[in-house]
Amino acid sequence: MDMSQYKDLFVSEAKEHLNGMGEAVVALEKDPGDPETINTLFRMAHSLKGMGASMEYHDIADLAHAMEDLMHKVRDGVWVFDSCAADLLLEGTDLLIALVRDVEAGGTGAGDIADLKRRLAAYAPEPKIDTLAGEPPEKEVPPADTRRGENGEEAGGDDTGRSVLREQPESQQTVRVRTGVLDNLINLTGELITNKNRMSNIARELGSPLLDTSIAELSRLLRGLHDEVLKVRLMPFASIGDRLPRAVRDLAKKSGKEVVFSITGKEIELDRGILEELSDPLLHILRNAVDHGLETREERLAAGKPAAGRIAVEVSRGRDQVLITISDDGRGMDPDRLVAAAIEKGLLKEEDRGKVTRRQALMLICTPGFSTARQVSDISGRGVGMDVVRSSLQSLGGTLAIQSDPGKGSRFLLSLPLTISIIPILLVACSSFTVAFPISKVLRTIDIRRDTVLTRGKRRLFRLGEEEIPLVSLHRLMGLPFSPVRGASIPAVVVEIRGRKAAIVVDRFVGQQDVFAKPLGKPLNRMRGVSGGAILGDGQVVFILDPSSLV
Amino acid sequence: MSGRHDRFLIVTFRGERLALPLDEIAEVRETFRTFPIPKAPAHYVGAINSHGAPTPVLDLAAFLHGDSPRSDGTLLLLDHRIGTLALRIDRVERIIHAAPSAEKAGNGNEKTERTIPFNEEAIRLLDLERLVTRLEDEFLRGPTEPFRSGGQTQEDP
Repeated sequence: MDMSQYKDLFVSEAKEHLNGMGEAVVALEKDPGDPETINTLFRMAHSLKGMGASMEYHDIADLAHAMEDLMHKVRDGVWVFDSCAADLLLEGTDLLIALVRDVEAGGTGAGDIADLKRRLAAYAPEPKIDTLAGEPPEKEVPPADTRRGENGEEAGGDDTGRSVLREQPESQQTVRVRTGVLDNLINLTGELITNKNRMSNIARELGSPLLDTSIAELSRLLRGLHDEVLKVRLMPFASIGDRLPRAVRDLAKKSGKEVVFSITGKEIELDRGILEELSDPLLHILRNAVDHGLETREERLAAGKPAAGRIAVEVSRGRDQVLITISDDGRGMDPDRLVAAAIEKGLLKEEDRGKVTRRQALMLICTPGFSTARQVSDISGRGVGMDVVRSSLQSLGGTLAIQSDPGKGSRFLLSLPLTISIIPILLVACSSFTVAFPISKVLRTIDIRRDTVLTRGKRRLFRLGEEEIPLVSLHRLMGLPFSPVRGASIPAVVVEIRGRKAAIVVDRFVGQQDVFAKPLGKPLNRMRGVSGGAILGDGQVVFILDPSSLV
Repeated sequence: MSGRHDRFLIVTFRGERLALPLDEIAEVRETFRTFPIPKAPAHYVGAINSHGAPTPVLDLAAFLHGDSPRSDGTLLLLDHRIGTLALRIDRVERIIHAAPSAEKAGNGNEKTERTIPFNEEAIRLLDLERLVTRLEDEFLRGPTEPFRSGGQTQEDP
């Protein structure tokens, strides 16, 4: 029988199982006697074995079988789950992930599993004193019903099995849809909205009440369609969050630190596109937290803190936004030290020392080339920096804020839109251009009275409350010919660039509207300062500026 | 790569002929309306609305030979696997079946490296993937030259 038609389904389900296995291993390491997690891990290894065998991916089936055997002994109370077992099983999930990726890429899913299989088979935990004395293990693990079907799935029958069934009520039946179909669906919906805007323009010119009514109804239907399509694209944070405990565990082991890690709000949903891009920035912040944020055990004890550091990821939902907070109870950051380091590296001038606010000082770690790490470490001294983290968030329409208290810890607050496709924009004119700013990046618009503009050397500024805000010409930023702004006032868009406010001077404000923002393809995706494009109702192409990379 | 393409578009621009792999061209468009692209080099005529996607238009003659960009003529929209890009040319001459020559050094011109036999002529074959990579590099190298060459930059107001 030709099984290739089921390959995509196999890959998708195998990845889900492997993510779940990684999470379960880390959870078991914390609570080795938890029967539900033991059974879950066993069941997933068992399912993977059956799936691999039925698809004739023999190495995947064999390795999963070896892992299942180990878990079998744990489940039956023969062995107590320990960190050595965790290491072996995590090594197994990593190798299985590699084999599944090989299948995904068109390979046979074959690999060098012999050594790990041998180690799994040979594994035996250190004997416990009470076991040697003939006492039963402290916590009895109730064995699950092991009636197995032909394909390796287990029939329910024990409490755990029933609880799993209870988690999947019939009313929440699901179907797997290729992500490309979802992308097409949102694209088509976006184009419908663009065309509806075009029809609205025509209706205004025609002045037809009948057409107006029809378009109003069309708008209502499109809003409904858009909402439903966006819902289809939403995925729980767990789809990336489930991998984080494993990642933190590995980082902690590598750095020799003790870490208690927690995640709350995993059920909160975000657009699939945002989640895909969020994984790397989150991992980078977590790496920094383990490597630089948390102190060593000795330093913590000396500071009167618990030996194990705490790192928490909290996901919560606000109005049209999702807030992700990553906090640690480590050494925190000293704003004065950050400012001093920035001056030393030439990123700030000496005269700026007294002018930098606490918030601005903390944001200095997001400046390209800025690092106060005393030494490069294997964990976070390489790879992307916080500047890349911030620009990744900005390209998703999100923001990053940092709070920190020396000696108490740090908090990284990531604010993200629920969806990325339909966004409100501010249209501005600049010479022959009409360009857009995402409203999420606009702090305010302002008409600055010309006689209130101050001059400091070559710079022009104006006062907004207590702050002096520099003026930057959009003409200059876009490399356009000189065109002086006339009139008594200067229209400007106040934005934040690298933690500092700036007023971008434009020719005039055009208006505000919701657009279907499209990412730019090759080669324009490499253009700095532009985050996407959109088609307006009159068919006009506008580009959406990213203030932070424009300057 | 030899033998990968068997059908080619023969196009002309500013009196020059060029061959392009047909399977890398998604659409030919005769009429279009462009809108300016901020911070783009002068060889970009602007951007068009291509089925809802903002798509830059590159004037081939301006890019390859530094001619003044023009916004008339014909557009070739590349297959999205290659890039989101339209090439402005003067016209499409014909579609031919042919085997391209073996890859050669390119005599210092890395934009084309193979030829297609056509009417006893050897027509240069444009490697579109390489073209898009070059255009990406151009943006990465930044800062890009002003949109209008020779334009005076403005001081802050």
